[in-house]
Amino acid sequence: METITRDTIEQTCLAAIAKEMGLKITDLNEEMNLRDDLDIVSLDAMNIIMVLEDEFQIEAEIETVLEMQKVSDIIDHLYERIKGKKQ
Amino acid sequence: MVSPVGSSIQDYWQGLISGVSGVRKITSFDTARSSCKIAGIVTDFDADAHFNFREKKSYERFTQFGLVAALQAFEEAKLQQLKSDFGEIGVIMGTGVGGITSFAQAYDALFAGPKERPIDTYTIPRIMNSAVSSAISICLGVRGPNITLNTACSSGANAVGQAMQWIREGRLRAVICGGSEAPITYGLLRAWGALGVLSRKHNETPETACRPFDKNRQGFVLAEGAAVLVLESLESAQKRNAPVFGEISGFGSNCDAASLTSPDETGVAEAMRLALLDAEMNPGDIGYINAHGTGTRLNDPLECRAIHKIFGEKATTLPVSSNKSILGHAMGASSVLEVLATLLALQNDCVPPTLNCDDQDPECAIDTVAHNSRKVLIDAALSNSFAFGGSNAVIALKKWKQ
Repeated sequence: METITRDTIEQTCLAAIAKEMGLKITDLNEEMNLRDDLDIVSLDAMNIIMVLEDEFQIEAEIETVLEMQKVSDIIDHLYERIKGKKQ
Repeated sequence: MVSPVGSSIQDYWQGLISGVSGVRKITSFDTARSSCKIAGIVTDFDADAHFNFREKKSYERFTQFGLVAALQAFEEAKLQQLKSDFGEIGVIMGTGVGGITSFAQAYDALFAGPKERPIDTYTIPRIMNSAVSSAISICLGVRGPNITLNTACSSGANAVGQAMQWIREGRLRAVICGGSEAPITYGLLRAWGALGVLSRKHNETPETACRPFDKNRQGFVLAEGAAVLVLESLESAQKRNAPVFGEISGFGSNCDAASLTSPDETGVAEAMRLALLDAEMNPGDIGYINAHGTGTRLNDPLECRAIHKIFGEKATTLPVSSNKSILGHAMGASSVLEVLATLLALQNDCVPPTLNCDDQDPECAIDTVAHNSRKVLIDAALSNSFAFGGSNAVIALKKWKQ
């Protein structure tokens, strides 16, 4: 089974954010604040997470997701869930 | 306002009196399996010119139409000057099917692919009928009552009538009222087609499809659009030199209490009588009727008989025309588009034509103002709207004379 790397998650996550928010991937980076820099509100965040859940066949914790501050928080959360799933 | 013949008052009026049809071939989806392939389509609406990315995500097309129309009306009426009274400004809108496009997209996500796809989290705020009135209040900051009502194809007229009552009772300083609809989806086209009430034989010549009062009429065509009015007392409007389009002077609202799908002559006539009574007018005062005039086999002769019942001998000489022959049938928005057309007819002493009434049905023994608009002095008029479920709404209007 192919290993899903953090880089893969990052690229997929940035693509999902870009699509949901009408932005270019090249405009995004991990350190961006979801609300202040990207204007992501809860409905946007849930759309992004649903796409990623579907892509990686995992379930994220909505409450945790809604408390996230930065793009990297989403990536790290997904990475942990995927690692946990494999175990 | 937003319509298939133009989205400014000037363009709309010019479109109506010149009789240039807004009915076109549907190109936004494949109509191969639909017997009706045409609709009254808005072509000059650029969502990007009005809304940012987030707003476009949040507002379905019918909400966008209603909001743009409301902003036009708000500005034209100089309502910003009432900022300190925004708590006394209400919003009431009518729609028939609300955010039906997002409904279809949600079902597509569930059923149209090899596996379920996630449903967009904006689906519910886009679907809900009340999104249109709420978006107007949120955008403008007006904090009075906020209502979206649905009485199918008379929704908008009922919204205008209710607004008039609020003003008359002194409950509110001003009311933003109207109707909005964007129903042109494959599912709805097929559903109306299944009822056998859509035009089917004129797909190659869309402008000839809707033929109210004509012997060869076959039905209506779906349409989209929105119209919004600001209602207030004359004194209130004059205080800030707001332009006055006319007077909404009476409202007849009733139910046939007979059938979900078939109109009833008695109920329809009664709605006209109630509007006249409410306006303290006699049939002799009316110089024009803007008909419901769908172009269906059932509606047109029934509406004409009801007009004869109320107007007696005058019924054969009173100008009666159908805007749906030009615009198509915009469901919950049609009645307000038609109220607006009636106000403009009063203002301009000119009656827009009924298109395609080439061979008048003898069962429709009225003056249909066929083919060409007509200059005629009018002081008062009725705008008829009837609906599935038997919910009739007739608005009586008077010319505003300074």
